[in-house]
This record gives sequence, C-alpha cells and structure tokens, in this order.
Amino acid sequence: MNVRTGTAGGFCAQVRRTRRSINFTILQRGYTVNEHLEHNRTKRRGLAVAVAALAVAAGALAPTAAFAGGRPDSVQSSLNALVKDDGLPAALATVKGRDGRTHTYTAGVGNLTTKAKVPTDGQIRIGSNTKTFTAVVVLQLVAEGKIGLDTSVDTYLPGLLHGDGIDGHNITVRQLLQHTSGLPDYTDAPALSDFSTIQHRYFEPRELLDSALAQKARFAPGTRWEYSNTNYIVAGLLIQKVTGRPVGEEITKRVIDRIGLRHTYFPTPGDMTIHEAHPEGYNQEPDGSLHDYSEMDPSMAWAAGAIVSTNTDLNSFFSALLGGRLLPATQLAEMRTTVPAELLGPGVRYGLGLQSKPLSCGGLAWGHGGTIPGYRSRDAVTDDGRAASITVTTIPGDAGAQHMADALDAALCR
Amino acid sequence: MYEHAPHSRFPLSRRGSRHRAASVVTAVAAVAVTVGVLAPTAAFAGGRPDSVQSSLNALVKDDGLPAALATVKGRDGRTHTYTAGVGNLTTKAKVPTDGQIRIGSNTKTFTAVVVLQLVAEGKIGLDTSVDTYLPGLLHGDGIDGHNITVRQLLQHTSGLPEYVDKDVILGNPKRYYEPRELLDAALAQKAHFAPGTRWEYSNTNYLVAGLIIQKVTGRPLGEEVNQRIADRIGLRHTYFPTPGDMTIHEAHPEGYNQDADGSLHDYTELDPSWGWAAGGVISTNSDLIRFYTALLGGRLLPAAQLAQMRTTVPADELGPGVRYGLGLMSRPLSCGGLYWGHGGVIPGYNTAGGATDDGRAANIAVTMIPGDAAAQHVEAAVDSALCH
Repeated sequence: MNVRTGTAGGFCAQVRRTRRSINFTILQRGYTVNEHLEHNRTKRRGLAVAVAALAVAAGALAPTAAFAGGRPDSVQSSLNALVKDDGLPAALATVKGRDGRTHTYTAGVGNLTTKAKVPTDGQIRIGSNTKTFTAVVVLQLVAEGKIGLDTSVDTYLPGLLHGDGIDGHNITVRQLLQHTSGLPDYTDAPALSDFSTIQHRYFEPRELLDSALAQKARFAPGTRWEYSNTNYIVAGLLIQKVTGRPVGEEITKRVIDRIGLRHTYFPTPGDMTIHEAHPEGYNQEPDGSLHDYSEMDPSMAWAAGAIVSTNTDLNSFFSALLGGRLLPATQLAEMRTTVPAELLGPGVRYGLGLQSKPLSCGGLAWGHGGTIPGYRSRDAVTDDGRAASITVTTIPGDAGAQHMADALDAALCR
Repeated sequence: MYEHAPHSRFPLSRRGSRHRAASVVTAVAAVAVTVGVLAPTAAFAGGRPDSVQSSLNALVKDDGLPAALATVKGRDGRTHTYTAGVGNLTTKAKVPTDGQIRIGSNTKTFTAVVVLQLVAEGKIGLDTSVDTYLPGLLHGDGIDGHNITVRQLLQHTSGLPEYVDKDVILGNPKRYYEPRELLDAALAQKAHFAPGTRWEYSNTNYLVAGLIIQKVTGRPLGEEVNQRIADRIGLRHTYFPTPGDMTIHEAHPEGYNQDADGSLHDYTELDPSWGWAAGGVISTNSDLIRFYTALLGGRLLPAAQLAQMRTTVPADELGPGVRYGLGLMSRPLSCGGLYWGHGGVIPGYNTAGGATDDGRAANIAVTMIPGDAAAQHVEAAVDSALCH
C-alpha cells in the first residue's frame, strides 16, 4: 500500500493514518481533496499555540493596514510569507473587511517556468468547497419536499449501498452530509491514492463508489464523525436520481447561476482545463519536485471536489448562503447545526457541508476549505458580513498549512 | 419487457417476430419489382425527380412521415443529397439539406470500432472475459462477467438482458441516466441464455463495451469516439453529446414521436444518456456515408480487426438474410451482393443505410419512428438507392 511506500495519500485518509501512527513525513506528502493533513493531538496542541500567537500577531499587524503609503497590509504580508518562507509558488486572496470593502491580493508567480504574474483573482480548483455546493442542492431538494433529511439513502438509491457493514437502509441523507455515515473513503483505494498516476484519468462516479464499497464500514452510522469523500459522491448520485439531471447541471442552475457566480463552474465530464486566467497549480512529486497539475481530470473528485471558481466567487457564495439567499431558514439552520469535528482543527465543528471555526478575535467563521492536487483554499465568512478566501497553488506542508489558517484568521480579525 | 411486445420497434435497432420476418420477405420481393419500374426514370433528363427523390416523397406523402432525408453516393462516385417533407410541423420550415439527426444504434458501430482499435493496440483481447477489464461488474441471475467475452458483447451473443425500457424512456425523455444506472436495470433481470449459445440483440452489450473503453483508456467514452473516429476521418458534423446535452447543435429537422393517441410530439430535445454507447451519437447522412466508407476502406481499423468486424453470424430477427458481425450488419441487396451498415432507431429519428465494398453508399433518415410498412419502405429505398 501507498502508506508503507510513502508515495501518496488519499484525500482524507491522513486523518486516520495519523491515528494509526504513520509518521509525519508521509503525512506531509498526503494529498487531499479536502484538507486535514495536520490533526493529531500533538499538532492540535501546536495549533493552539499558533492561534494564540496569531492573536498577538494580528494585534501587532492591525495598525499596518491603516498606514498610508506603499507598505503592504497584513493580508499581503501573509501571502508574501507563504511564498517566501513556505516556498509555495503563488498565493491569492480576496478579503471583504468590516468596512464592507473587498480587496484582492496576489503573491508569487503564476507559472514557475515562465514566471508569469499571478492573475488577479485567477480561477482555481476549489476542491472540497464543492461539498457545500452539493449540500446546498440536497437541502434545496429537502425544502421542496423531494428528499427527507432523515430518510434512508436506500429509499432514493435502492440497493446501491451494500457491503461489509454497509447498508443503505441504515444510512440517512443527513449522515451523508454530516460525515457520520461510516462509509469508507474511496480515496483510500490503491488505484486512487497516487495522484501522479491519475492526473488525466476519467472516473465514473459509480467507479469511485465501487472503490469505497470494497472496503469495510468505518463504524455504524451515526455513532461517530469521520470525514469521507464517499458521502458526497453518494449525495451527488442522490441529486441525480431525484432531479433526473446531471449533478453539474443542478449545481449550475440552483447555485451558480442563481446568485451570479460568473467565474464558477462544475466541469463537464472529460473537461480537464481551467477556463479563465489562472495561476498554474503544482503537485509535489515523491522526489519533492513540483509538477504542473493544472490540467487534470476532476472526475476523481466529482460532487466531493470538482468545482472551479475564484476566491471572490467563494466569498460571494458563502456570504449568499449565510445570508439566506440559497436556502430557506429551516434548511439553513439544519446546515448550521454542527457536531464536533476536532480532527479538522481545534474547535472546528461540522454541519451539513459547512464548517464552523472559532476566530481568535471571538465569534465563529463559516466556510469549508478545499484541497485538490495543485490548489488549497481556506475560506470563511462571518455572520456580520466579513469574508476571506486564500488559495495557494500547491498543497503546502504542515507549516505552510498552519500559516494559511493563521492568515485566514488574521484576515477576518483585523 | 418491451422486447416481447411483437410490434414494439423501439430500441435502437428494429427487431421483428417471425411473423414480421415473413412479411418482410414479401415486401422485399415487391420492392425488387418497383425498383425495376423506377430505374429508368433516373436516366430521364429534365426536372423529374430521380428514384431516390421519389422514394422520399412517398415516405412523406404515403407513409405520413414528417420528413425524409438522404445522401446517396452512386456507382459514378458522385454524391447527392435529398430532402422531402417539412423540418418542423408547426412552422412548416424546410428540411435543412443534410441536417443533423440522432443516429441511434449506428452508434454501436462507432463503439465497436473503438473497441477494435484497442484490440489492435493490444489493450483489449477480443476473446478475453469482460471480468478481466471490469472485475466484478457483471453478476446476476445467470450472469457472470467471467464467462462473457468482449467478442460476445460486440456480437450480441452474451445473453445479457436488455436495459432499455421503451415506456420509461418515452415517458421521461429528458431524464439523465448514469451508465451504471442503466446497467443496474439490466442486471436486475435474468440472463437470456448462456453466453455464446444464441444471438439476441441487446443494448446492454454496448453499454458494457462503453464501460470497457472508459476503463481501458481512462477517458470518457465520448472523447474516445470523437478523437478516434470523428476527428480522425473528419466527420465534421458528428459528435458524441456531452453528458447532459439535450440539444442537436447544427441545423436539423425536428424529430417526432407518435403518442398513443396518434398525435405527433416533438422529441428533438431529449437526453440521449440512456442511449450512450448503444445510441447516443448525432451525425448526418453524409457523415454516416463517410464513416461506413472509411471503415470498409480500412481507414479506421487494421485489416485483421476489420476482418473480425466483418465476420458475421445469422441475425434473421433483423430481416431476411441479415447477418451481424461486430457492431456491423450485412444486408443482401436485391441487385446482388450485400451492403454493410447498421441503422438506428431512437425517438424522433430512424436511419437506415450503409456502404458496399465497391464504393456505393446510401443513408436515409426519417424524422419519426415509422410503422411496420413505412419501415419497410425505408429499407426498400436504401436498396433502391444502392441498386439503381
């Protein structure tokens, strides 16, 4: 297995591997459609320290933003550090501050070969942020009375979920969206674990599911929380079954077009490109070298992670969602009803395709974040209208990941 | 299932009961006479329509089909296109010359060509089990992918039950289906016979062939069909629709379906995902002629694989003397010899035709699934076009 050889990692398998005491070197190499490389207990202590330090740093930096003249503000400084200190090719951000004004930032280069500039607010693969889009469509269908949140998956997809400890009769729609189904993660399958071999490979959604169902259930439904990309593949199939249309079309119609996200799309099957100006995304090979992974087949992530968007569109999306423009109050309340998800970080809680995270300056930020080979995004919005989204163009190591989280906190707290 | 309904002509290729086969023999005989009568007309100078045009006119006037279109490449190597009827029953718009059409089961020939190209590349074994490429996929009552070969899929000798349910499709033509969802519908049924023991047309065979192509190439089926065939031989009006695409991209006559009460309903816009590898492609009569001509001319497959494709078994259910190779049918001509093609039926459109080894080719499309008599007239028109 790849765990032993250390050649790769599944999208979220790292969480479990950590618990299995796999060493850090491998963890740092892990790639993920969601994130979460860094969550063993040791790390969480480290994070707590880092967040405390950050609170101080934010305090120290806050005045800079008020300085006139050419000095970069705190967000720009954070991005510069991600490039300079963490060695990431590029970093991009869009931040909407307390004053309601939006600023975009870039650092680094958009292409390591040509040294081209990073396009302002360039398109990126948003990875697991896609899960929030998928969850919104499911919850819209709940609001329309077409799906019951506590109804079994088998009701809609008869016979689909079955395997060792797996039975679709016992898994509810809510458990899928909440990651409490116990469904094993398809990204743990050997064929899907090594991103260097599947960059241009097309997968049928059901092929992904097969890879999950060949494994044992992780736990009985409802008894634990564990992030699994499989939950959102099933949610995508559920949307298709209930609407009779492709999941990409439903997300486009019900979310993207509805709130006018003009730089966001769900790639058509087979489309490996990024349509608009974008920084190249790089994947770190086992030998440490960076390989251009911008052109890839995102079918490996589908309803769990395929969308292309921008930092600004992500801010608009999460703001519209929290502002009640995508869901009726009842379904939005369901989405915001969270369970502890400490594996994602200290204080992090998971709702239905939505995460809440405590801010160092008090209160909570809502978002999801996403990681896919080539790109990692950290994003969150607050109920009082602040919003920030930061993207880097290779999956960072532990330190870089922490610096991103810190930068997001700082951007929302300044 | 619908295939037991004797007069159902729905799935992508038509099939008849023995009773129908008998009436076909009569019809073909009658056609031979007609052809004799009509043949001289083509030699007349002046404005009189030639025999192909007359056939199309009759399909519209006598058989009540909204439109008929044809492209014919004669013994002289020259190609002519024809239209009759109206492209839109409401607006009475003209039929676009060589307009795009849904070609239904002609798609199977495209799918078979890609499989055979992969055979030539050593990536697929024609007599290797399906389970080798898609482990564990085919299992059910009497169904086991270990015992079904790739050849049996392409040849319709696998015994796999049919996934297409005509009433379901017609009742909800804009529904999107995952290929695997279609396969589930087939695997819920019993095998029709042990692999290799009989011949029976089943769309499921080509659904599985499509999944094999995807597994072996790692790319979507439509992309492989577009690159390996349409782009390679320059079929500029032919494409495999992207999943979710319900439109026909270029100028086209509207396709109609006759509802139970006899009224015609526009079925042009439909989701072809249920046809997929067995029937999803959109093309034109002229592109289909180029396709079959290129195929027979060895421009798509090495000689060894083309020979396999042309190795046929009896398929009398499809008509007297019809034989089925690998995604390719041979039909005897009234003037002697035979032609190679496939034909296709999908709500809105019916196409028939193919090419001969000496370079003649004809393809005829009508814009509604015809009744028994009209279907016979379409076949007769192809025979006439190739023989005159």
